[in-house]
Amino acid sequence: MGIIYGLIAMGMVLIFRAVGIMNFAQGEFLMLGGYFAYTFSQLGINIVLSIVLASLCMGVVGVLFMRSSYWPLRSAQAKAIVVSAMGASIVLKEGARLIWGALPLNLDRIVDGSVQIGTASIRWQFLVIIAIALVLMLLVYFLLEKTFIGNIMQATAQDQYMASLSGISVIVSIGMTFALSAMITGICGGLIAPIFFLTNTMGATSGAKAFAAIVIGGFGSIQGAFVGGLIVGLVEQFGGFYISSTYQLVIIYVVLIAFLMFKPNGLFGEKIGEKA
Amino acid sequence: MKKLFAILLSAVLVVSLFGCGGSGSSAKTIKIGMVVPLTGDRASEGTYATNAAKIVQDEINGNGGVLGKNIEIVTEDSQGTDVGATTAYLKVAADDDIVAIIGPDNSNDDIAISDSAEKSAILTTTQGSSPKLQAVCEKGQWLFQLRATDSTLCGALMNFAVTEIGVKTFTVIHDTETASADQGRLFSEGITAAGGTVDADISFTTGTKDFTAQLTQAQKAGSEAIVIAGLQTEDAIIIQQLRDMGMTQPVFGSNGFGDTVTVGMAGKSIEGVYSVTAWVPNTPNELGAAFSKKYHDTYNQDCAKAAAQIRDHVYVICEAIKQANSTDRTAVRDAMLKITDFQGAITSYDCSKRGNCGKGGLIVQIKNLTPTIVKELSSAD
Repeated sequence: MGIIYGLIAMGMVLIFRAVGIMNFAQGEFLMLGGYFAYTFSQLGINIVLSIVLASLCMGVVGVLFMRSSYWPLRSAQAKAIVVSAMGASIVLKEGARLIWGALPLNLDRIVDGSVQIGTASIRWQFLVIIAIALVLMLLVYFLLEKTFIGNIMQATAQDQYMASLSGISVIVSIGMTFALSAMITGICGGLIAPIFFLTNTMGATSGAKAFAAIVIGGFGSIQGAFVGGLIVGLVEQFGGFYISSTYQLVIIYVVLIAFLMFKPNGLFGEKIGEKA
Repeated sequence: MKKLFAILLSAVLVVSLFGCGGSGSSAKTIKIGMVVPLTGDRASEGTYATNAAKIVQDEINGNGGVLGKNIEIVTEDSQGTDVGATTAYLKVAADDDIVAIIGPDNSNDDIAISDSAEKSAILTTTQGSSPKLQAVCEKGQWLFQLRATDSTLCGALMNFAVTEIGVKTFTVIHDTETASADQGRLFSEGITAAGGTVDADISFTTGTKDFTAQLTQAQKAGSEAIVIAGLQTEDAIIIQQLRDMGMTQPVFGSNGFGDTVTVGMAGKSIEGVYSVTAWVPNTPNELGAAFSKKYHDTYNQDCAKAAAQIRDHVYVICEAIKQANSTDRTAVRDAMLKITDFQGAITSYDCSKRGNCGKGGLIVQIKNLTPTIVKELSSAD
């Protein structure tokens, strides 16, 4: 699960770097991605293709989300945008319930069964998740660091005003960032839905843990978000096994508080400031 | 223009005052409130409940209603939380035309609304099965637990496991919410009473999705059988993950495992699991079988416990209203106390003590994704 938290956190960091706001509807992107994958799979489409199509749909959702929840308030105070995102989160959650119903849904796994490694039994689906996550990380790195589009997105993230003076369409750039973030998170939804079932509330807890991952990894750092997610996952499982299975969430947030107290910038924290 | 608007607005306000009649129009119907989760993690229960309410309302009204009036079931959303349940209850209770209220299918939420029920002095039927809820109902004046409590059912399942299946060592895994925590304790006590031993007691919080830590502990304990007490979604996830980890020992579960929703979610992972429950869609109870068929024909899905319970709650309340020959809340409550053998779709009800009003239960095993009755429990078990 740490890998999943890391991917969701990565999506949140992309948006944070672009617009300086934490997107509290990120968990709902996860949920919607799962539901889209389910819908496509019900049409008889192969599960892998269903997840790909779902991610494309999430790209559109990301752009619509940006246009409706962020763009009209871009000049307003940050708290207004945060509240807007929270409101959008509720709309997405209840909208999903109206469309797909309240009953939990099941999605096919990409690979069934588990493999025995020593005394541990590991589900193939988890290994697939790890593989896909690594591929996504590399793709995002390649996109942001090696492509023209990535340069545009990074330039906009650093300084929107200068980017617009340089001829970059800020709205298009920010739209692409939201789309990319939603696509990554949507893929996560399609990957974990077969294990944890699809409900309209599945994004809430994952989103909260992803936020913890960002704090631990460092605000604004993509690699920090991923590493933070891994740490959250490990703390969750090892803390649950060795300390208390009942208070897993408490253990995660105690670690979060410790990071805030002793290393508030996180492991890879960087400050994104405006260039003079 | 402004004058015209002011006159129009005044006219609308005056007309609306006439529309707000007292109990004139609502005196034509008997209102029964229902507080169930329409949103949140347990929204599926609310879906089944509202579906059942529609069927039962049409059924009763089609047969002439109660005391010559139609019944109207008024639903409010508990959101699947105790705070939401209390807010929804107070909203329903504020309507003077409400004769009785059906509480949510969760002991925690039912206990949360108990104070409001006593203060509002409205007959309230609860769907939870916890012994704590039984104590609250028996201590109060207005709450009725229309369910067999887990005190009888959990012990019966563990006795079955030890004496008839032959399992001696157990690991108990349970949710920390009220009813599941009680079930975990009752399972442990039942195991000990039957001569078995509890190797490990492992807990998790509601909403947990990844049970690796808990199941690894269970694997380490090495028991012959696993006992699980949780809510539907967690039950389905945990049994799936348990089987994925290669744990093949027998599993005994609380009533959630026998439920249609859980079986549908868990799929083949739930094959062979034993559960103790009050309801299965293929129930031998005649009224239950008829309702189950009607529900399936209407909604093209199996009738879950949440639906069957609402059916019985509405019918018991209507019976109390008939026996009181009045919609006066106190008279209806007093009539309810005199109901000692009302046959419902799930079981028969004795409301004289307010708590543990349902009798008996079923031990089932999931075979071919269908809960198959292995043993019927009488109220003496």
